[in-house]
Amino acid sequence: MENRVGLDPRQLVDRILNGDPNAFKQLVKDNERLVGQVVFRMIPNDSDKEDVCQDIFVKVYQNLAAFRFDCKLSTWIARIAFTTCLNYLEKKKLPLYEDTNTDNHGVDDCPSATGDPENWTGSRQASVRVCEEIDRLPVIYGTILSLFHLHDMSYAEIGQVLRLPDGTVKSYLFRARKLLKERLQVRYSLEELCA
Amino acid sequence: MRVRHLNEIEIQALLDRRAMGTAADVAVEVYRKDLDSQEHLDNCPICRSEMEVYRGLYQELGRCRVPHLPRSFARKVTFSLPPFRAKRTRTRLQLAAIWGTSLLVSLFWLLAQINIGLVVARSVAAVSGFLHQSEATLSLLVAVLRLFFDPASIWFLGQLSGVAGAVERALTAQVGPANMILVAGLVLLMIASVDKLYSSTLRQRS
Repeated sequence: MENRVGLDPRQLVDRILNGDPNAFKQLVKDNERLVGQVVFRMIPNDSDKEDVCQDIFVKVYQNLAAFRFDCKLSTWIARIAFTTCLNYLEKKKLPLYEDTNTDNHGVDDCPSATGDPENWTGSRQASVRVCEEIDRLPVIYGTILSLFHLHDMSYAEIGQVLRLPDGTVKSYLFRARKLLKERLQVRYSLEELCA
Repeated sequence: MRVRHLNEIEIQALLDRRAMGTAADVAVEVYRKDLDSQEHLDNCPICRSEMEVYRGLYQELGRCRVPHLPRSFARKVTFSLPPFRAKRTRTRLQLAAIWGTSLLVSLFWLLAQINIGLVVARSVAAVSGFLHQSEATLSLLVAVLRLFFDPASIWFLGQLSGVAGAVERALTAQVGPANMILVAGLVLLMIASVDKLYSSTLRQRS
């Protein structure tokens, strides 16, 4: 990924290692969207999110000399972000693979899981509804969906971030989308019934 | 004949491959499968409708909000960093230069020690008649001492170089590379002022 001042990642890393604080600031600006996405998906507590982001960049700074360019710089940073969030979840005893909400309607509770797709797509509120529904998915699913659809990462790159085989990433991604689609159809069909 | 519809995994895989644009390196059987899937989609309204649902979902996923950190975040992170880098890797050239310089300096030091040792040995031999062998003995002692002191001197020079590097990095981190010339100029100005003050004091005393 080329950054705004036209430095390639190797030049940027070299400048940071030579003590240039502006180069590190540039690295933060280039990757804050990616780190923010991982953190905001994985950390439920609003007051901790910014601190965790800051902690991640400090770790990046401390370990930059050990980075050997065996993957993209952004992938390596995303891996640090994921590991840091994982440690946070473990420390707070929060689940990674379970649903993060309690109020959602299960797909099995619904009389019909086949709704009209126009109920939740193509409207102004559609993106908001999809985002809200992603927040209710298990943390790992939300993270994979964000990395694939918002950061254009391949299965292999997501696998490097999450330390999972490509096949597992693919399987999680398909399951996440299926679950998301079913829940959106159920939720908005049920809302119409209640209205 | 019973029609086999595309399952959700097949539909998603097809959309993923289109999204990632991997047509060039995709395997032949996958490419054929995609063609078969497309042919089926063209003739099957049920699968086409399912495909449209997923296409809509993909679009909405791509439009999801991205969290924004405060504008001052990058500055805040930069300020929170430790003042010195804990680990800094030296290039091979830098390491070779440090070791080369250390080796040269220690060689000169070694030669000086040998000469001193020999002078002492000769003096002792000249004064004392029965110590004819002392020159050779002392030369041997000097050689042993040399072996002990050489690694120590190399280590010491390495440390000196590390300290110089740390000072340089600290200055660069604090003032930035662009302002280094300004700092150098200020230092020179300070030295000149101290020198002037000292010489004027000497003049007054005289």
